[in-house]
Amino acid sequence: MTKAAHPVTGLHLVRYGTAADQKYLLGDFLKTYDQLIINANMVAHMRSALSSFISQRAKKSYFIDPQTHAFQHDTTHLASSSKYSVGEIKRSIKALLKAYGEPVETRVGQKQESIIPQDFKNPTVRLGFCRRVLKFQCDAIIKEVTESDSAKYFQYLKKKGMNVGTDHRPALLVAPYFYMEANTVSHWLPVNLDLVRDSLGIAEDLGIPLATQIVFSQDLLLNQSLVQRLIASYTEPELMPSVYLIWVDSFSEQEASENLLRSLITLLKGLGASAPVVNLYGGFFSVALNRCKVVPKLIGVSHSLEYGEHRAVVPIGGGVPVAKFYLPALHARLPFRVALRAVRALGGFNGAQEFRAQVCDCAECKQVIRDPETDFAEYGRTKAVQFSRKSQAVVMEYPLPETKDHSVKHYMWCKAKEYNAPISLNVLLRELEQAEKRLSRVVGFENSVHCQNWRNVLAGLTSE
Amino acid sequence: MKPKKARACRPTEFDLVSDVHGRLKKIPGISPCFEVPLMGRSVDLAYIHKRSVVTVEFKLRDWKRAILQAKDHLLGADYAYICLPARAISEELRRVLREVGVGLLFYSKTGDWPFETAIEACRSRETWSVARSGVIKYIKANLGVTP
Repeated sequence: MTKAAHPVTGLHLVRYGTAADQKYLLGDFLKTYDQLIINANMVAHMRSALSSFISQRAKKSYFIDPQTHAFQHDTTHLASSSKYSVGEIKRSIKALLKAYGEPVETRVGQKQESIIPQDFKNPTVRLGFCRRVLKFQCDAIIKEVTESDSAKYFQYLKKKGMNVGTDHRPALLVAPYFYMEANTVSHWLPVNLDLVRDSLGIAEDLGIPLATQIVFSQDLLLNQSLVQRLIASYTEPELMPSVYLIWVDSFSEQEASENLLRSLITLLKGLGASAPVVNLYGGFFSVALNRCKVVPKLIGVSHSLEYGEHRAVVPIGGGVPVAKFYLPALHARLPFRVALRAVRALGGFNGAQEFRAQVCDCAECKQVIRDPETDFAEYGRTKAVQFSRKSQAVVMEYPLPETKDHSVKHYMWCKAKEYNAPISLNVLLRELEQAEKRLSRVVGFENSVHCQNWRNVLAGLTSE
Repeated sequence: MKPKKARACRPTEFDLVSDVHGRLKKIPGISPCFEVPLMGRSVDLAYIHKRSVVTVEFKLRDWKRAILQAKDHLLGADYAYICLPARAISEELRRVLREVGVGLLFYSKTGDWPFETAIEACRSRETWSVARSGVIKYIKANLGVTP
């Protein structure tokens, strides 16, 4: 855990995805994570429900990702797919556009055009935009608690002596930001820096620490001169935030090359020399960087429920949901049939004791797995749905709701362990080596090679 | 350029599956089913014969991809095959099939039995009882369904 005074209250951050996520963020899971991150569109979409969730049920520290980058992409990404309003801008996005005002309200909301760097040339427009984006984050939840219809309910709860909390403001405010690629960085970087510069004073007036969010592509991360440029630009003394939040587009730690992993570390260290850093979409590799004291300034790593250890900046279609099992030995989610082979190879089918010792001893597995040979199926049960494609019958398998329930709970317990169980670099390096040796021929090299890559990168850093 | 008609006559994978399914159905003691879900894969054709579960993956060309899919069938089948149009068997194809334990069938246009067995499949050493039961259950529930 980081020192209490810091707006990032601990290493383990969880991104709130949908209302359905709530059950995995409360109850026994509530104590497993430190802070919540909520997307601004979700706040705009269900402000009342979120207020109640944060102020009464979770009572957790949180901050809001303003998602300003959404307005720089093709506006079709903002369109609703609902049959009643297909093609129109989603209601939650409309609410955000209204709250953020110019230049996005006219450009995106009315003209349905994308935002470009020139839209922020006018300092007055830019400053106003920053003020409204920060105010939205500052007020969104607290207004609901104090001013809306729900306020009466909150007052009633207070009278009843129930603790509804006092400060529902976010732990930090995030300056507006836009996504940068190697070929757009020279255009967007100056805008992003101006947005941070303008936001610093506003955040100070609001009395909430400011975070600088840096969102960029993998091709940028592979270009060392651009990485150094990012570090140099964002660590200018007059731009110093309380914390940096980074998001590398579609950066899967399992799929990343050693070069990419090393570049990520260079960036984290470079920024970390000025202020602490949070990886907004990270997995066990990032957690290990902090916990093995390789990059101690990486003070937070965030994920969503099951799937959010990496995310594309420009949203892509959801695809068909697939049953997957998070295998602790590989720190990776595997398609169920691949996980089955791994569990078998690890000796997990030799009995419940063996399963707990070799595969997983989380609370969910303890409850579900009594006879592993048959009970492991609970993580992979699906329903076959037959439909016609080009006049041919096709069958797709969809995980059952209870399958997803078991998998998410198992994942959340595994994450809690990764963030908290005792760890040392030497032991970790040995474990990664053993996992790869035992499993690479069973799960396929592509599903295990990250162990070797992580090991090489981590070992290389310690010998520096 | 080939005449359009000639191209249109070339059978597709679906045509092969459909023909094989229809012919197997007529053979007593065989319970064929097409598009059988198996742990995230969809088996082109599976049947129960003499209490064994047999799966077949059809491909006109890409045998490597067929083997990749059939390898996963071994989790729910007793025997897994790929089915190709009759062709010379390369050393590489023979070696890979032997390594993974998948058999090779050639599609046969004539006769009652729609296959010619080119390489026998080994009995799967990977069969997971839960997945095998699921395949049997699905086959029994969809016996009357035609492609």
